[in-house]
Amino acid sequence: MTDDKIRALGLMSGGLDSTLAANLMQNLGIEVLGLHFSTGFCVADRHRLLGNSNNRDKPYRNDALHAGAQLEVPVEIIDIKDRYLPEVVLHPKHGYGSGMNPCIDCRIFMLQRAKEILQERGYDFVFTGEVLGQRPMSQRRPPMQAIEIEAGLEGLLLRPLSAQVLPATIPEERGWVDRSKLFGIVGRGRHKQMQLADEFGLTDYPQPAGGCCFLPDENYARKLRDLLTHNGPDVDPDDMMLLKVGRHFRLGDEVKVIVGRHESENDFLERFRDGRGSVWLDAFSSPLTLIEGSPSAADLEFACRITARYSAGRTEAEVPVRWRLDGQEGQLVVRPLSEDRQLDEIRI
Amino acid sequence: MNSKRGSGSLRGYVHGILDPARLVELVDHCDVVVEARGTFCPEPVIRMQNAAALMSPGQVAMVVADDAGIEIDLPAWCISTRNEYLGVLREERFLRAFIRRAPARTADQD
Repeated sequence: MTDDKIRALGLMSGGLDSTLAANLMQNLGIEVLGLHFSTGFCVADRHRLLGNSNNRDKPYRNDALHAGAQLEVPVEIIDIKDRYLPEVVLHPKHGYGSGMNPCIDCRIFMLQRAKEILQERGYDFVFTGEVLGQRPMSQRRPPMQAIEIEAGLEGLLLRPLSAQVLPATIPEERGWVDRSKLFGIVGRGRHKQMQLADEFGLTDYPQPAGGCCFLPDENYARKLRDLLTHNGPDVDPDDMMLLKVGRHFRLGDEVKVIVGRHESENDFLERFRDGRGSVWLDAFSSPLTLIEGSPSAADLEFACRITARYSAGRTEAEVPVRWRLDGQEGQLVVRPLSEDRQLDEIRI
Repeated sequence: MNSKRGSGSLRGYVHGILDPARLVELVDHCDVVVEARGTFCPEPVIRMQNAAALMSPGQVAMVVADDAGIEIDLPAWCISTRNEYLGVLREERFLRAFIRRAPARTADQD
């Protein structure tokens, strides 16, 4: 490590754009440290939670770590879960996108943290894989400029994939990086990035899938709003984790049920059974249902009927359903719920 | 500018440098134990990363986890951070994965 080597922090999701940006910086002789922010809302985390149903012995990977391995760039995971919900998701200064996604505030928050690390450890600038015009909320020219200023990184935030269509930054002006070697990519297309990946010899990268965050997803946002409405902002991390799986139904102000949709979700829900009520069928293939809160007898019976509705015994007149609650176990014989309208009314 | 990479696909498992018999010996003789059972990726790697920051070069850590992701993510983390991935022991309900803290980087290595 020579003293005059320029050092940069790169925000790395593990997607193609941030991997290309890091690769480009390396090729220009910059020493790179990748920062991967763990918000608790990552879609890829959900895939890993549920496992690979096609090959149970081969789990999904963390793309940022694997991008780091491929480039031989150290990647540090920055755990921001505890601060992210109260400071970013609940009170976004710049508002939400299509769901509960505070994309602009999110970007500012991560870059502010990157700036702290830059100052603490003596790095020279920060770069990202952002592409002008690629995302509707945070990757337009005005918000990109506002993000840079509000993060306190004015002039020190380089977006190498779009740099040639953005104002020159300090790293370019001072000759730390050669602006002519950067790119001027604009828009949502990925053709140029895939061409660059080929040129750089990057063959193993995740396919673009429209973002890696749960918060823009309206279904997820609805479940999160429901949780915050009924549990308040001081939510349990396990409850947050459970928002990522299953069908959710609200039976009462303090009672919610979560019904597994397939074997992987049932296996996942199994890990959260302690401290919660649960419902399942022995006589037929069935989902595992978790009960949050303190259900009344009527709630418990309804949870049994919902579970029976999603079991292989759904067409039977009556089925025996097992339940476990507060250390007790029992069985109810119930009529599987047949009216989807009843479910739609309570579906979160 | 257009440097090609020779590392190829990292989708598969990376095998550790020690055989299972040697890893079994390490279970009771590692320098640091990182308990991560009941947590999900990326938490086991975060715990390993935080522990490694306090370890001296050459020290060995064992992370105990029940999230299968550790088996594929820890080797990747080791490659990217130049720590040594020693291998994994698969127990019935959890995994023990081992790393050795890399020596401090020198000018020659950069």
